[in-house]
Amino acid sequence: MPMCNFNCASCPFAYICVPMAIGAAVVWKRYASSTMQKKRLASQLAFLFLSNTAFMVGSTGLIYTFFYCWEAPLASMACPIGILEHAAIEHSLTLLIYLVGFISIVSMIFGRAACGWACPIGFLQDILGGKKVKNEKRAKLDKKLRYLKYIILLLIAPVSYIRGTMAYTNICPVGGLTATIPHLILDPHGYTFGTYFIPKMLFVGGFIALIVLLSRGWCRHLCPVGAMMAPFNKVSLLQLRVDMDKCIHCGKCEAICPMDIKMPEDNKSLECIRCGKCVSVCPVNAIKLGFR
Amino acid sequence: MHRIKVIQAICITVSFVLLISGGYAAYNKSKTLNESICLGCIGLNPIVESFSEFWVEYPRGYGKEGNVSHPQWVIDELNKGKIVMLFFWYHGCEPCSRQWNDMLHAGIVEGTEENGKIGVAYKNNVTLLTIDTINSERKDSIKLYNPSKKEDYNPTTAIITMKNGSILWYAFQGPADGSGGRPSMRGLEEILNYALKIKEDG
Repeated sequence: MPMCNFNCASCPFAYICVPMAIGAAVVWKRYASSTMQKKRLASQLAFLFLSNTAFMVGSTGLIYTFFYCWEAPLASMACPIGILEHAAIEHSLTLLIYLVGFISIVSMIFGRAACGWACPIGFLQDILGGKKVKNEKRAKLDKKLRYLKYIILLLIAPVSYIRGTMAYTNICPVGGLTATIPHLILDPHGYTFGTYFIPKMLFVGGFIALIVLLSRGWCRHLCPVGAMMAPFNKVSLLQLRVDMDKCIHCGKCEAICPMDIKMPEDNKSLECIRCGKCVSVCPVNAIKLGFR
Repeated sequence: MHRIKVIQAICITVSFVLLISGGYAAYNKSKTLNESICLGCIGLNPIVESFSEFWVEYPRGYGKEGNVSHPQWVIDELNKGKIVMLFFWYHGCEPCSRQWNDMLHAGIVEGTEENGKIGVAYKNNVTLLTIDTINSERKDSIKLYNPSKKEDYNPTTAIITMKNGSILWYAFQGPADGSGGRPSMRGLEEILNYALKIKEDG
């Protein structure tokens, strides 16, 4: 196993550990408010590391239950969207059953917690911050745009089936960010640009703009993996529970929610990523995040 | 409250059954897919050296050195007096299907990747072997025809011929689209014709 010699310029793992170190340092204050948030930071860092352990364990047949590109240089698991595309292209029912089983068992237990506690793209959005929707007109538009991710998810399989190509992977901005750019950094003179390079980079630009401008913008509007897990929020074992007798309706939970959920009433929202920020901020401990 | 617990129990059981039943057959498939590199899917293509001459050993400057131990099934075809064209691909590999469709249009091949045959123009002289790099028993031969020490990329195309008893070959990774040092469709035809000429001259 390679050891760190602090020579980042020649280290193939620098693209992971350097952003990890900078990101953790930058956002530390945001997480330091409560024990739960500190645990969440530790979990996000651990999953970022776990996603890139191919140098230790090789490529496995397990599936990420969040968004991370399997073409990333050190990716250790398969992308759920990639598996969906392959199942459609190859007409492979077993692959589809495996994917559904994997996603549903994790989501049945944790709901959409993978978005808040494990997803490296979610972690990136937490680092970049992004603004909440304040204007009422924009809130209406935001609500409508949230359906976009379900439409994208529903289109992936049929389009891949009809066209016989990996319809989403070709333009996926997460792949551009976590695979295309790192491959180019590791070997700048080793590649030429393919057909999908420019569209992919345009989507990466749009993706960065979205997550800088809007808090958890990717999770809200476009992430098809989040769309896969969202329906399980209603029945998952891990739930946000609100004790309405204790609640003083101070509005702090709604004000801090990165997904702009109408808390405390809408505690079973499909959009909830179980980040626990509302739990940490509640002055009367009326909100609990736990298994039931 | 009781109803939700029943729903949860049913859903978890169903999910678990799906995971186990699917996973039994699909874990290895998922693993192989995860191991397959599809640079075309992330908008990149590996750079290779343009064709100038067929190689005998591994070419200099690519990484590997020494003789290539061609598999017996390639040697058998060469002994029949044929030139061998290998096309490494897998289902869902977008750059692979792009190259296959281009080869269909150019008349180099016929049929699909799974049951592909060489086109009419080369029918008597060239044997085309399409190798699924996930499911084929011959999938490991892609490593042999990858001249570099880097990972194997799909598609990989290899052309193997014989002159005076010695085996000559050339291979490139990524689609034959004329970029990154790789031949275009016209270039691929020229390589095939040159391989034929070498054989006849030999």
